[in-house]
Amino acid sequence: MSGMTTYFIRRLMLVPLTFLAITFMVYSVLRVVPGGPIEQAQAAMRMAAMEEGGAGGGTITGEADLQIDEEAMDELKRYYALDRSIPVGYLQWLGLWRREMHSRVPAVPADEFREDLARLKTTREAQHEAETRLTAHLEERGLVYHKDGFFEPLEPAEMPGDLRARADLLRSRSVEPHYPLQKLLADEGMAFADGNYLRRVDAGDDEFWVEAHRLAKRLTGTRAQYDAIVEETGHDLLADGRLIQREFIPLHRLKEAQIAVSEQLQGQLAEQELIEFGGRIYQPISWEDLKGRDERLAKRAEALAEAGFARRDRLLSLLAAHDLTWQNERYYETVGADLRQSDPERYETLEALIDSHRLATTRLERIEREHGYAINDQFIVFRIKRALSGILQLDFGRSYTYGEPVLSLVASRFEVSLWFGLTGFFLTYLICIPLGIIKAIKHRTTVDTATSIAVFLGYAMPGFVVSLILLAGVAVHVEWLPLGGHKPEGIEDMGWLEAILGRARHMLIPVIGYMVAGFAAMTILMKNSLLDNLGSDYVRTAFAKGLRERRVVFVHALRNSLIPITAGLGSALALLFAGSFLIETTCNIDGMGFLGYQAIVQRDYPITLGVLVFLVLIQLFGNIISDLIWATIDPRIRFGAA
Amino acid sequence: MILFKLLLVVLICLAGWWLTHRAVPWTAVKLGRLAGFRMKMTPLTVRRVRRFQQIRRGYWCFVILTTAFVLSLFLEFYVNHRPLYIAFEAPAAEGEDTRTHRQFPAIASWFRLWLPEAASERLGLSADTRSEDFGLKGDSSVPYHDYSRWARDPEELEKDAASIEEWIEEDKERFHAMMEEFAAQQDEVHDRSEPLPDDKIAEYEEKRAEAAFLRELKTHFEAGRARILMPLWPYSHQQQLLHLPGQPPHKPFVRDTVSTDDPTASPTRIPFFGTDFEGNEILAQILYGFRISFAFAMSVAFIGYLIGVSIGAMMGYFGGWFDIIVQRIIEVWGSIPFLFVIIIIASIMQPSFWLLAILLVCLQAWIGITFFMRGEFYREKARDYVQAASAIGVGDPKIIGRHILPNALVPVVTYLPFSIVAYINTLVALDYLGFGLPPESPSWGRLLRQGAENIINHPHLVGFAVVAMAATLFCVVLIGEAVREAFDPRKYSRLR
Repeated sequence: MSGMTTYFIRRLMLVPLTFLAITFMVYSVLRVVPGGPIEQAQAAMRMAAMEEGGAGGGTITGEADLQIDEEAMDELKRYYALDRSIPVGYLQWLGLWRREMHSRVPAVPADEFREDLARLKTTREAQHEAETRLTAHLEERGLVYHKDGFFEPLEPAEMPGDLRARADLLRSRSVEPHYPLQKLLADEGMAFADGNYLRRVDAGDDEFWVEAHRLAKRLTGTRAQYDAIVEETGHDLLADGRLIQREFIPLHRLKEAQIAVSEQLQGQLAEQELIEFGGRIYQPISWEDLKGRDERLAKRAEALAEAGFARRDRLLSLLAAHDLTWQNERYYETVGADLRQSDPERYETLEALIDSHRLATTRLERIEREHGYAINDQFIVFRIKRALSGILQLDFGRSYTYGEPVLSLVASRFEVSLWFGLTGFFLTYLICIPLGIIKAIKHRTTVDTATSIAVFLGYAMPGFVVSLILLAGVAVHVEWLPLGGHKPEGIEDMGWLEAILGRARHMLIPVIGYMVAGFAAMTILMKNSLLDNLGSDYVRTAFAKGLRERRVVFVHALRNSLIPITAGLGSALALLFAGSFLIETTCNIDGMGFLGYQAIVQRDYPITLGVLVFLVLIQLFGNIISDLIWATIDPRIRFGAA
Repeated sequence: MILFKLLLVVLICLAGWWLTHRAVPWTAVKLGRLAGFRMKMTPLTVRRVRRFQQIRRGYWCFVILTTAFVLSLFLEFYVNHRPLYIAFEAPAAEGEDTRTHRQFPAIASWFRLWLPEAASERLGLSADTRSEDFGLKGDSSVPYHDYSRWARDPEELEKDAASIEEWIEEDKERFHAMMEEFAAQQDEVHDRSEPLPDDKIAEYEEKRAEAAFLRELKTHFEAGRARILMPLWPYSHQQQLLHLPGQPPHKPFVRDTVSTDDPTASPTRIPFFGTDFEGNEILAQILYGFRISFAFAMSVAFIGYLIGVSIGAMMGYFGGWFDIIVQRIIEVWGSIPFLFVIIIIASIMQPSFWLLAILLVCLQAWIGITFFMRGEFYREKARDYVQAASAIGVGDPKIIGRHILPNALVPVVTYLPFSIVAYINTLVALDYLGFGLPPESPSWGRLLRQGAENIINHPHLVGFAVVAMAATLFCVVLIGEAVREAFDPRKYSRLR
């Protein structure tokens, strides 16, 4: 293999390495620095919410905003794998380490039922109807139907004293459907439903009971029918009429149970301003009390609390070592012996609730894990998939300012940047080559000196400043030139001539800015290269042959002196994109650079990293392409040769 | 007066030139001799320097720019809102001698710039004055503009007092007019002889006391007890000119003296070059901005070249695996879109002068020179003198530092000016995007940004910053071109 080929293979192999090094560096910076993405995003969102809320914004909109925030935050956390270490998180972001993906399982609205599923609905209706009729019939004698049996409501006084006390206690400590309570009552031939204690009644054989048995049988019949259909179709109906897959039913039930316990627990806790955290009960403690107890601890905790989200874990573990915790911007201490003694019953109730909450949660989690699904508080089911999903799988995440996938955003903006980049690029060559030739031919004449000043100025001033001067000095006064944007409004409806002129109008100033970047270097390069060639022997020979000067310069010398110019092709293109965001910001062009800049300002990290990935790739391949072009055009160039 | 000031400007420039191109080199040579160095240039270097001096435009730019930078190091002495000297002779109380209070706030602020905080505290260098010490009331700093106006013409105090009283009368009139209009709406008649509300009376009392105080102050100023010497251009980037009428920014070249409704504001002259959006005077911003931009570029270039030259020297000298590995690292590092990355980092951390400088060095500045130095060392290493030095047992560090380095500095000299252009532009771009120096630093980029955001109403902000940038950078580029020409001359010859 020739040296050249190995050289380029080596260069290509270096591309992934470079890419990894750069992205890892930036990823680490975003993660390590205090006030990383999450916190910055939170602050930014809070600001935005405050601005929007303004005078009229009530609490409802505020809470709604917070809801969205939580969701976005969850997505952000998942995307950046903030719960994992930096290397693992980076690999997940890259797509080389499996990550947990939550994809929403769409619930089918009732009116989109498939044919065969319509039976589900009719059977459910029949079942309801049977139930209503049975209830109505039993009401005549004040009876209720519960779990395949007929019951009569029991006045509390009718119950034996100790049984009732035990039942009440169990009732307060368990949640619907009160399994321990039901078990206790069933042994006594009793039950509990809708807040009433019930006692089983013996069926008679009069007309009333015949009818009652008939209706009850019909109800069980429809139930069985319904269950059969559920079995057959694999779908079930929710109370609100939405359709759900049968395998999600346990999830639903458990979630409902968990929410019920949670609500009961929170209600009990809120009554006494207590909180539950990690299975323990805490009561609030004021900062002064905390300081009085342990001043050093209090100060350290306060410092950590102020450091924000990034130090939250450290804060909690510090406090946990002292039986304290920190929630909702307040300090809490564990409930001591005083509550246990002053109100043992309540305390035990709380503990029982906490236990059953924990039980419900673990059960739910087990089921979630087993089935590979997760359910959130709004009963939306997500499919949990552990898969590779990162930028290698083209999953760049989702921007939370635009709410669109980053990839499509970048792609749409890339087109705009391409317009300007390419135009600027070609115009640079179109102007620089003739100018360089003129300067070389008229070396050390007035023309040369005069254009040199322009070249030096172009070298000295960055492109965006030149655009800015033109905007401030010309565009402000000339109505014909727009102050920003990349195309006229309603360009789709214009004739082709008008459209081209409109685009040209919008592109004039930015493109001049783009051109400044390469203008000076390119012109000087062209001039020097031509001068070099004009002094060489083969030109001397051509002159000696008696060729005309025009032919010598334009045919003989120029061809060779164009070689160095083409060498910069790839890297010039890369430079145009990399440096363009200054011009795009100045001229309000919705290009990729502007997208990246705004993303940084708005702390939209998915876009920031996405744009970075693109910039790095363009730069890397641009460099290689320019070397390749150079080597192809000029056979004297030998890369990789010792 | 204007002639006198212009003369002063010329004198300052001459002094700067003398300092930069006579005093400093002379001292450096003398000190070097004392320390045992003999500054002897090789004939080749002498020829190069002479060639550089012969390229007139480059050489003149060099003289102007170095002078300007050295002068800018002393900006506090002649562009400052603080006076060079302020004194007040407190009237003698019973049985006491008169006590004169003197301070040199401008000079103190210059020293504070260079000395660490603790040292200037110990020396008692205070750039702030207390109004109480200078015959005024309160703890705050003396209002130097008013003070110098009063010192120049004590009658101004009488005018100020009169304008306060005038304002009281006008305000009364305004109040009555308002009440009459209000009464007319209610179909009633406002009685002018009715007593004014208490808060109005209290306010007027206060204003009258203020006027009386000004009149009392006038006696001190007439007796020549207050003296103040303002710098040549009595503004600075640290002072927001909030006493000016209207909202900042103020347009330049407006020479009117405007009075306002505010009683405390005496007729004020808007600075010739206008102010920016924060109320800072523009010329002061530009001049201080020149200093900080140039200092930034020089620091970055210095640190970057220090690192780049050392690494490049080692690469070229040792070669082998070290060379290959560092080459690959440079290739990786050079592909970072550094401006984008700096902005990402700056958006998370609050950048300071040195943090920005170090970021720029790490991400960009050390790379460019490394390859040139590598090439130079690679070439020089094969020369006989290196072999000779090596043969007599001179160690590697000494060969690199003493033998090869002086012969390999041509790229450093020729690329330095262009690097400085690049770093100044980077700083301006960062400031322009809002991720640059902290907001209290003067900066060209911020002026550009303010101008860009209000391009229709205030293009002058862009104009001044651009003129400053263009002049500075153009000079640097011309120097660079001349240096390149002098160190690496190309003589083109061709037949015609």
